[in-house]
Amino acid sequence: MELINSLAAVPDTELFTGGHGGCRGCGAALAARQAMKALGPRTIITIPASCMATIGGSGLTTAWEIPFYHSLFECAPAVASGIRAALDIQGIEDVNVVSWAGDAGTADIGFQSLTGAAERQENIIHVCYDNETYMNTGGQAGSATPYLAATPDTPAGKPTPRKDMLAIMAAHRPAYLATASVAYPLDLIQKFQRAREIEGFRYIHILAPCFKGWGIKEDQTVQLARIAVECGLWQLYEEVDGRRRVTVIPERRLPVREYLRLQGRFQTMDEATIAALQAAVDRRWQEVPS
Amino acid sequence: MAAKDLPLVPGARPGSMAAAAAMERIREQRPAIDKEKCNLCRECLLYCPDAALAIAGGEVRLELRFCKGCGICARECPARAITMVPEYAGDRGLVGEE
Ligand SMILES: Cc1ncc(C[n+]2csc(CCOP(=O)(O)OP(=O)(O)O)c2C)c(N)n1
Ligand code: SF4
Ligand code: SF4
Ligand code: SF4
Ligand SMILES: [Mg+2]
Repeated sequence: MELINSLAAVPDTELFTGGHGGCRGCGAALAARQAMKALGPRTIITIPASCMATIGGSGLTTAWEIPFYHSLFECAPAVASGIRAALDIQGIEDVNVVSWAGDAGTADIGFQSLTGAAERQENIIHVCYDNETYMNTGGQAGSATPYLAATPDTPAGKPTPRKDMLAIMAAHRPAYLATASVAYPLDLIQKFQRAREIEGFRYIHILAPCFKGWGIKEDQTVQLARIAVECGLWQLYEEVDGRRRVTVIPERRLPVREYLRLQGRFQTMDEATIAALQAAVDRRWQEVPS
Repeated sequence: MAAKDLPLVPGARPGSMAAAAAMERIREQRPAIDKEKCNLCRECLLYCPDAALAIAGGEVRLELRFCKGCGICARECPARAITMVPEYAGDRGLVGEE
């Protein structure tokens, strides 16, 4: 397989087209568009309740150029497992089967079917596009919502930290696991290319900001997805058979304060909390093999 | 009954949202691309959530039916070749010419 190494080598074909129903500057739509550049036309996607399930259309119209199936909230990885079984029995091997869920569809409401599919080592790719809230129903806090983020149901800030989904999924010993960000499209595309080539259960977690939930402007989606990496709160890496490789070491390092202060949802966070978060990020940064 | 004979639920036709796109209905501003400044680096193409940008004939082309006017391309262009121009200004209605 030849990795796509430059923007000029990215295929022009749009398998998730314009005209979709996402808001202006939607990070979720951007993640899907970028990923489809690597997944290609031989892909079947299953999507549980989420913004993505409305953005890409309905039973009547669609932005997908590939077969898509909207599942109930709890069971996208189970439906993907069934699709894989149906392909296997027909001897069809060259299809990527993907379950594509939000952070709630991954870490909360969809978690039992996700952990089941990972444990059975189903030959599917599960993608979590993470906007860190339940955006499709108004931005409620969930387990992926960060510490002290203000949401409609945690107006004073979420009292507990974010669940570490990557550690949880790594504990399933998947064949492939990666983080990605919509601000680094080549890195994202290459990770989907590598995932395609690997057999077994694969997990890709994409940071995909939502201006509404984060309290930023519509044009800041990519900027925030980049600063999250530059400040060290979101590391870009991949793990094949449990061996980690950092894929992007940002050119500049920014304080976490910069990331937090750009967002409306962290306005209640005081300086002492920011300092503690910075110390935790600094400790982790030192552990990063470069 | 063989699996292939099972009845199918009618599905959405591929391309149907692209065909019906009319984002001028919700757009308030649109990008203006300065061809002199643009170095065809392609970054804006990969950052547009709406697949509104493409390179054709040696220049960046904008599909206005898809563009929602988010402004990401203008913010991200490393050559600062894109500026957002207003099209709609609330009670003042539509502004500027096509
Ligand atoms: C079983 C069930 N519970 C609740 C809902 C309502 N619901 C639809 S989408 C959604 C939130 C989705 O959040 P997430 O998975 O993070 O995706 P996002 O909308 O943020 O992109 C909820 C609670 C539902 N459809 N089904
Ligand atoms: S609410 Fe956020 S995630 Fe949902 S469609 Fe709008 S921008 Fe995208
Ligand atoms: S990002 Fe700017 S310089 Fe690069 S192709 Fe787009 S308009 Fe041209
Ligand atoms: S303004 Fe937004 S939707 Fe329009 S071309 Fe630029 S990035 Fe795409
Ligand atoms: Mg979400």
